[in-house]
Amino acid sequence: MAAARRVSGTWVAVVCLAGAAMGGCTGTATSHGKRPTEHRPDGPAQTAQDSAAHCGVEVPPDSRDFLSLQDVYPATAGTKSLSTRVLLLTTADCGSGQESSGAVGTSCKAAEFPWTSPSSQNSELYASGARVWAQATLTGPQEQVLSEHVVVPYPKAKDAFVTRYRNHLKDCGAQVLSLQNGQPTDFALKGSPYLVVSFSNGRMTVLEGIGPHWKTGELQSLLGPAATRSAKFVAVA
Amino acid sequence: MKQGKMIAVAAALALTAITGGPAAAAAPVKPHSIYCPPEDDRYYQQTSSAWYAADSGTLINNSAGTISKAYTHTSNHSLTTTVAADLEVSVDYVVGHVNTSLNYSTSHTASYTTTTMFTVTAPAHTTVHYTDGILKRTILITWNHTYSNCTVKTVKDYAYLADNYSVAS
Repeated sequence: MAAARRVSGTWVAVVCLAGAAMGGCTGTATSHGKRPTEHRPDGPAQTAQDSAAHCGVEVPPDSRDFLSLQDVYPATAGTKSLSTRVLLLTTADCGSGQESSGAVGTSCKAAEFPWTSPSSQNSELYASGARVWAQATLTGPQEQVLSEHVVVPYPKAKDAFVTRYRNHLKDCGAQVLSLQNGQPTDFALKGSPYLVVSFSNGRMTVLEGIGPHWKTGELQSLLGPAATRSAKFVAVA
Repeated sequence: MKQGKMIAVAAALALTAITGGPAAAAAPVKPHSIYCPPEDDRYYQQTSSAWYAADSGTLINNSAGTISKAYTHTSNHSLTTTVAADLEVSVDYVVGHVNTSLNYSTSHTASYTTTTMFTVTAPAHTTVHYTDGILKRTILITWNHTYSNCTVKTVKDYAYLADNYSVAS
């Protein structure tokens, strides 16, 4: 389903979203740096932005790839809402020959991590090896908000991608929630927002609990289901 | 455990003349036909076990409910069960009998790949240490073969069985 194609002398990312509404595998057809102009109003990256720094192509999300409102707010009456988006960070849109720079930022404030960023930092995610960024915002009846992010690097960047983010979280003093063969796979970072992060097969799943409602345990209990559902996101470049 | 059953098919009896003169010199008394149904009895005993390959780690549950986490194996491994040739029995036979008699879950071949997942469950506010992979079980097999003349041949040798196995504590 997935492949890398050479178009006009440039390696172009071919990104597959298994199970997504795209029908499986979508090759980025453009090879001339087409900029996306269509944005969903409910996305987190819709603030005023430097369009020159923005990169990525919106594709139709499938809500089944994310946590559901029922997962997050079971048996809670009141108005709830869910918004989702999927962004492909393609070479055609984001490539600038800096793919290996591996920038992950230096801030330990959860609100300033690259995946929570305004679109102006999509290029930063791209540079770290990310090729898919999927995001869902689940708002509860008491205005509590859970933000879910799934970041998928391309295969060759997977190990370096995980190492960089893992080290960054360690440096920020994040609590290790899970280890595999001595390497942390899940983290919790206290702060505002509360943050839990899971690395699975190179894919990063992040849950941010925004507001005082959230505790590490609550977020951690949602991390497993989120990581399982996000397994459908695959990036090949 | 079954033992060879000795069956006297016929026995020669020395008969003493009830009447008459002195008895003639009797021939040596011995059974002239001893028969045992040929059979094979095998006994299985695990003498050791060791991880052939595995992923292990820790899951810390800070939440008030049970959580489950799916892990993916980080490498590819495969192990095939072997049985010493002098035991003259097939791998599948040994696997079946070991699983039945010792309640294991061995198989002809155990394997996992980097796409194989396993799930670890941790009750509320607990820390679970897990290992998931391929366990190599060393099984001592004692084979008693009973011949029809009731002699018994005993062979002891080892089989090494592959078991996809998980432990959590």
